[in-house]
Amino acid sequence: MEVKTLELDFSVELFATGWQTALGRKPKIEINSQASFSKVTPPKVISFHIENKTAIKTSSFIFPEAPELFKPEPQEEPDQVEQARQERPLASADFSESTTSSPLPQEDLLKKIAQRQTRLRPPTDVVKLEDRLYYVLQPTLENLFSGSSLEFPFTPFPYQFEGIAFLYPSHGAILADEMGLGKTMQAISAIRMLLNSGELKQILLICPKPLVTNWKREFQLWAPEIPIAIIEGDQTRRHWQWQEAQAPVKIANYELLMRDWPHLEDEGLHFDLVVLDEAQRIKNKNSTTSQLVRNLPRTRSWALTGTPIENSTKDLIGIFEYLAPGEINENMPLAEISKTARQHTLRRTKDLVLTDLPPRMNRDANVTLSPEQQTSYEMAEKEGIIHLNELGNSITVQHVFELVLRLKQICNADPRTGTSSKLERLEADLEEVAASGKKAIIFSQWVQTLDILKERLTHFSPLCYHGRVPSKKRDSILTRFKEDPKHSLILMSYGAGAVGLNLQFCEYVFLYDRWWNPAVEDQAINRAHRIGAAGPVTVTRFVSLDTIEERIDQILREKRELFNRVFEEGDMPTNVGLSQDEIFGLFDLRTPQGPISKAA
Amino acid sequence: MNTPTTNTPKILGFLTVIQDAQQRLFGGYLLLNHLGRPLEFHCTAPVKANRAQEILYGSTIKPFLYGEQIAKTLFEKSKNKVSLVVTDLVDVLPVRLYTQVPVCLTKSSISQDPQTDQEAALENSPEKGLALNTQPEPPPSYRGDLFENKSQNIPPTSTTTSLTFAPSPGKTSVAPTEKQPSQFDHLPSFPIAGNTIYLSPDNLADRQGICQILDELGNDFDLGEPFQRIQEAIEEAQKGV
Repeated sequence: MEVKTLELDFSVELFATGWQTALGRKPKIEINSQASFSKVTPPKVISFHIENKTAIKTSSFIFPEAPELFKPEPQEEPDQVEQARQERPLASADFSESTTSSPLPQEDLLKKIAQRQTRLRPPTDVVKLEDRLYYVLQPTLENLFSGSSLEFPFTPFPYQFEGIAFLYPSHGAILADEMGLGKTMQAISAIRMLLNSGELKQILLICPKPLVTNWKREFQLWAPEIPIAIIEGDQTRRHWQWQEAQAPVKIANYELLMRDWPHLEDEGLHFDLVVLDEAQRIKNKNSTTSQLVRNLPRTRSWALTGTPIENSTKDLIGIFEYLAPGEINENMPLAEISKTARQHTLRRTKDLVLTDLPPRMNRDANVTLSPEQQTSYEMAEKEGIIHLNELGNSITVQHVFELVLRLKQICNADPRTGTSSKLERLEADLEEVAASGKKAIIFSQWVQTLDILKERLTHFSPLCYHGRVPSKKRDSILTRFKEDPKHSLILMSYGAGAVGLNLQFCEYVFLYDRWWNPAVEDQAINRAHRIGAAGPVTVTRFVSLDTIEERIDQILREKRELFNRVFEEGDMPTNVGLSQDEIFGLFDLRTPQGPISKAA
Repeated sequence: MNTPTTNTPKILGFLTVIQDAQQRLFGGYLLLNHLGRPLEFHCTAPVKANRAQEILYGSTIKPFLYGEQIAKTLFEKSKNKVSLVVTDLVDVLPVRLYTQVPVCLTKSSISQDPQTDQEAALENSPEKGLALNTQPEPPPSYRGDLFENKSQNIPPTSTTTSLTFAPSPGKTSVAPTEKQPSQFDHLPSFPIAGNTIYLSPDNLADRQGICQILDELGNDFDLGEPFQRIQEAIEEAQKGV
């Protein structure tokens, strides 16, 4: 392909068309504003102010820290724990009020305890919210114990933990558990916790004199680390003991309190807690004992009794004068008394909490007087009534009592001839008891009757436990009774044997004569029918038919019903105790004030 | 309970929120010493979200109220320095954003369901106390859960309990409105000293410190139990209102 290049040479001219001029001319711009656009309303904006920090009102409560005492200590080796347990006095496990199951290794015990959850509750008499929260916010009792150096020698029952939780925060409380449920252990454990938490420093425990050694043993068992001082001995020694600061727990008996009162007043002692055992002792608010106890300077007041009502609601009012003065009085409606009483009282019965306890079988042994007894009885009654009628307006309850006692003694055994239908019946029953290898307790209100029984029942090798037996010999008697198979029988007076003993190896209880008060009878029966009872407990109550015993029995039944109504139904009569009218009514007598309207 | 191995006794804080029948929230913060005894208790007056907050916070309202508002307020009230804060509510965990103290989750004894098989397996595993059990599909992140992931499934009342005031003091009046395990299961957990601990995925590094503290306290310290005390204390406080 060939490419040729040509040169082009020709001119090009511009013609004046005017178009180029137009291009060089500056443009003319006119701006026209439209007023209507500027008047458009802008869109509305709603603003929300979001607070990042809301003011929240709070309440704060600061509590005192647990003292050093509650800190856990290094665990003892299991062998050491077991050894320590075994070294404890035998008597404390045998005859004390201990009411728990068998000992457990500490590890098992802690596991068992940890499974339950018992919370402290603020009592009604604690009003300040901070104080109430202090109790609400405490750990469970089980955690408190498992997390501390405090040990239990035996596994407490759940209801016992509840009892401790009831007492712990209470300033005024009645622990009114039925006998045998372990009021002592619950009180000691609550005291132990309060001492260890630093809430208490000085405690006074007052009990009947025969029970002082029991309390000492129980403290050794349940709170061995707490030093206790028994107020006893001569005056100088006692005065020193009252001042003893090293022992946070002082144990005194009611009688000593009376004797040492001037000293206590002079020294101005104050107790963080006063505990009354067998608090029915102060049921009569006019008694000297009651007045002294009420005057004890104290912060907390606890009462332990299985029988806050023995005769009438006045008994309960008497106890309340000590623990919560003025909260109940005789003029209050019954329902209100009952409601207030329940706020301060914890009452459990065996039926309620010990479903595994062997049954108690009551048997009324109604006997007919022997002809000789009948003759003596009729003669005594006739003479007695004539004598009482002759007294006219000078007759007193004491005169009637004397006749009652005389007639009851005839029912037990005829003093002229020595015959006794009761004794014959008892002997027959005891043959059966002894043959079965079981053991029995016989209660009477008279040592004289017990002496007669001892003489007539020698073939059972009976042991005696009553007011004439020296205190020092009593524990050894109980040991013999328990361990020696030849002694199948123990004769006890209600006064000496009704309280504080643990004889659950006995399966038979005989009430040879009847006490005036059913609560005392219950206490006696519960020596055998209690936690740890080997088997069913048979209770035989002797009543001589058509005698004063049968009439008294009727009144006792009514009293028992009263107690049940106050603490179980909340409805009660004001007074169904053995009133003057009732005592006179036993013989259809007239009181000095007029005729008896209510015969027995 | 074993003796602590250090000279400084640990103080634990227990923080929870309770909802009553009127949907009011009550915060409670209980400080316990190493023996489980109370040192401090702080509680709030009733708190209730207003309508605007409900709309604006949406599904994050509960972490906001529980963690940022109530828990943070209570936390700031304490006088004692705590070693560990324990809660029984997932929605309280955000309080960890405001403190250097580890915050962990456990199941309250008042609303605790029977132990799941999974927990039992964990506690019985040979790696007990060693391995951190991370779930196969954990949520994207703690922060994402609460503030980004709108589809997070936290039932509106699942973390609270109804507050009623029963006349009988011995009985707990609390009934959980919904079972808790559903809100726990997505969290990493590990068993220690008789308790199962749940952690926020954002704070897995807290585990070592928590283990050390709980080891010192021993096996008898039930971390779920104090929530019952808080519950009862709030009820008690409300009685006087």
